Amino acid sequence: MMSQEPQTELLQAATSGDRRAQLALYQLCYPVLISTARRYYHNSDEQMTVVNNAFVKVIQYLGQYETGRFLSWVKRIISNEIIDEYRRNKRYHELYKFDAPVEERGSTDFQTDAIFTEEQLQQMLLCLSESARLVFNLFAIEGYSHKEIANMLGVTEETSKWHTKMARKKLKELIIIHYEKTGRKFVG
Amino acid sequence: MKKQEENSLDKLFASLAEPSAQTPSAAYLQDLEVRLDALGQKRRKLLGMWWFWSAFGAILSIGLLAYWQSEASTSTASKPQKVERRTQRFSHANNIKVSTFSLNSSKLNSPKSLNTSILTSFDSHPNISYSKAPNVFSHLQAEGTPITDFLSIEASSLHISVPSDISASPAIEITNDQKVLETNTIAIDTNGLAKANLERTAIMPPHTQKRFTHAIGLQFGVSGIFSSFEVPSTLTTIPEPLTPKEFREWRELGERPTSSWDFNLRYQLFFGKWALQTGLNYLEWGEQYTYEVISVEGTNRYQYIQIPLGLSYQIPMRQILFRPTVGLAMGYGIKRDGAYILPNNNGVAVVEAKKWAANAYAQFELVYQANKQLQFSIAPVLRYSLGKVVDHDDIMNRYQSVGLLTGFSFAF
Repeated sequence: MMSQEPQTELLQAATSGDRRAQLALYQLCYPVLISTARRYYHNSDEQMTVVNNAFVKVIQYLGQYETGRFLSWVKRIISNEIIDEYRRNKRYHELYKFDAPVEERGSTDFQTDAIFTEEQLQQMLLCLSESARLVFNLFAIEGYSHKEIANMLGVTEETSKWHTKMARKKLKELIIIHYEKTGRKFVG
Repeated sequence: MKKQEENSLDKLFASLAEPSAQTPSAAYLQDLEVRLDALGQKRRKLLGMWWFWSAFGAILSIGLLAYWQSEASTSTASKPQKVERRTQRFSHANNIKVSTFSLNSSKLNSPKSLNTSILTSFDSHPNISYSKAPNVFSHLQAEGTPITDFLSIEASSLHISVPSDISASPAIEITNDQKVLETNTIAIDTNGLAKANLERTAIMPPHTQKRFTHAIGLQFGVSGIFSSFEVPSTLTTIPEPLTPKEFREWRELGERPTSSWDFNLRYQLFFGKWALQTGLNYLEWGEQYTYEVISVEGTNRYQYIQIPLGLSYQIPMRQILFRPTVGLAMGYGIKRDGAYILPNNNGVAVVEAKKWAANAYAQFELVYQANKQLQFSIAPVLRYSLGKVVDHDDIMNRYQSVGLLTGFSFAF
């Protein structure tokens, strides 16, 4: 369920530098920001940094926001902030290691009928390598195409696909482990 | 089948895209406040740039206007000198006897043309002999001499040399400017020659050396600010403080020099080669910070309005003066809040700089003397804070700055 959209007056006040309005807007954007951050970072300091840096950018570019869904715009900003953060930390360099064509491998048939909590899913995502987590998040959760991801990260589409594949493989393993721990069966 | 599996897995995780209702903690809000402050500072910096160039343009315009006015008055005053010089040369070089006439002042009260018919209406002076001096006026005019200056001297009983060949003279223009001449300085010798030490005393009165002279001016410039800090042997911040050595390393890593605008309104009192300087200065101390460990960046700017008191010595060298100055200044803080990393690396500490802060300064001013009144200057300046500007538990800062000021001053 997406949070409610802010009123125009609130956006105008925040743009003009009204600190109260900015904080009210922050409260409104926070669920979107933090839920995105938690999918990428398990360290709470890193989450706070990316959430607040993204919101500062929201304020900085608020004057340029015209129409459309405000919270989707905010979501795009935090996604870009996360990508920028990866670039700043040069973590994305490892993405270049995987420019080889995707090798088709056999995989276990998998279906999940289990209901996982949000926290469990987040924990699984955080077990992925940073690159795989970034690409999988962008592709499977944010809804970007491989072409868009390739452009954003400066890699080839094949590399994006490769990371998605690796992420899925790892996530499957984690779900299986989860089933085994809980003694439940999975449909496979 | 595989595609379906992929889809179901993606779908499972896609549910994370929907945010759940959550509210930020106090730590998030505090961290955000610091970042928003830093954003505000960035915007103010842009505004500062605009302010800088506007002020620079205004100062330049005022300086040029003052220069232009000053030059205009100087050139007006120098005109009669030319008349005098040329008249003398003419008289001596040609040894021409001229007739002296009484000049009817009523004809010269206002600017008008003094043509040959007016000149011939002069009464002949009974005591002065007359001899021919052909084409005197045209000769002077050919040299570009404003002969009118000479003729336009305003007086009721003025005796003035006029060449005999009056009919050859072209029309002569009289302007108001020449009214400044004094008639009692004109002397006509027994040979009828106009001896012309007249204008010197009239227009350029003997310069009386004042004991004190004054000047006011503006200075504007940019400085680089360098901070140095102390770390106490025991850190007070809790919980789990870093060691003083670690804290020092974090600060050294995260803080770097910044720059500031300087603006001085100054008054100078000159006595001989010495001068006292005071005025009103705008000064900043501070530093930039990027504490990567807590992902906070910004600039601390402590702004002071201060009154300086300096002593200068002038070393003249033609139109250039070298003016070294040393002095002290006391400043009142108009913006004093700053942020530093906490000694436990767990956020930022907001501190206040001292309300009153003193500093010592030295500058070496290079002055261009445009004319007797107007000076343009450029001056490297070094400032050093006296005592700690920030003195707050674990944060203790001193500052120094190196700057370059340009400006002008107007003597009166």
